Amino acid sequence: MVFNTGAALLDAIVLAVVSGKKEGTYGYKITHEVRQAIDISESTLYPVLRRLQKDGCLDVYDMAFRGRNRRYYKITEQGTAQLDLYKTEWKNYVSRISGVLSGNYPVQ
Amino acid sequence: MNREGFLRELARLLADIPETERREALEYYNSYFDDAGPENEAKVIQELGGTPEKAAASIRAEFQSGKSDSRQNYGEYTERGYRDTRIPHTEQMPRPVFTQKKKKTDPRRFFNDSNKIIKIILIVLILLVGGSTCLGLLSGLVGMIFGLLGGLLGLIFGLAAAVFSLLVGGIALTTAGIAKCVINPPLGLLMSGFGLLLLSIGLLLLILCVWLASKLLPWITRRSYGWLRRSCDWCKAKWNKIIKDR
Repeated sequence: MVFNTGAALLDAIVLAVVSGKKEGTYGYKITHEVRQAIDISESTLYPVLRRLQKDGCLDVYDMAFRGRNRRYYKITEQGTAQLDLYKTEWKNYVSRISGVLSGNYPVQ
Repeated sequence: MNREGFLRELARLLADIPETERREALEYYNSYFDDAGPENEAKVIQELGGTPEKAAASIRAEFQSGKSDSRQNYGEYTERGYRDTRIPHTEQMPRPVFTQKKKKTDPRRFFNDSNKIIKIILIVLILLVGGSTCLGLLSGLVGMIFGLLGGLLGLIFGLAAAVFSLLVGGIALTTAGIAKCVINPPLGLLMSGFGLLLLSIGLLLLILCVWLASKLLPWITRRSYGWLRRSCDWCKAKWNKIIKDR
């Protein structure tokens, strides 16, 4: 990837990954799924999850797993609304950039 | 560095952020190691950047930007990790990939090459045509000069011959006329008169010839020599200028 992933886009990717799991998912799994789309460092994701949690886009809850607590992340209603906003914005962005890159300029 | 060392170092590095934040982060990474499994411990540490400094830096950056609530304005997650645009960094631009194949199939490149070939052919043609034309012109000029000189020489020789014959004829006719005067005085007088006329014309022409040979010919030679030298000098100056300009 030569294009940088902005904070908003990383938020959108994380929200999309988490929203795919109705019962919630955990850090290690989220990291691996995000890394299917973009190549980010493992240390990048925790701050994002923490911020989304603080912003009210993600809910966290602990669940016992093999004798220890595992922290699960689940998307909230606010998070879903935020994700929808990101999706719409992304579609516009992609169509505009694609238009320009393929020579259809100015964009209608 | 193993898992315990990593987490201990991370805790130490995050000592300046609030207790709850630090505990959250440490729990997250502890869980992360658990989920990755002991067999992936070294791999996780390596992917976290090898040292806890990087993880600590990204956590602190997030915490601080969260406080100032303007995270959208700076800080970017790239494939090389978190980047803060407030800190200048290079390597933003991808390095373009040049391949030999692309160079060869580039139509513009090909056009340029063929253009070059056409240019070379044109130059050769111009040199050939122009050169031969110049050569023809030059040889024509030289021929003209030689022709003129030859013509002049011929004229002089012709004149000389005419003078010679006129003088000889005039003397002979005058002598014959004087001799004829004894037998036939009127005819003799006429003959000697004509002879003298011829002689005088011959003498006049001789004077003209001498004048031509002594004055006009050297003058023409001088003039043409001077002209030749001037043109030679001019050519030399031009050539020197061309050499100098290069």
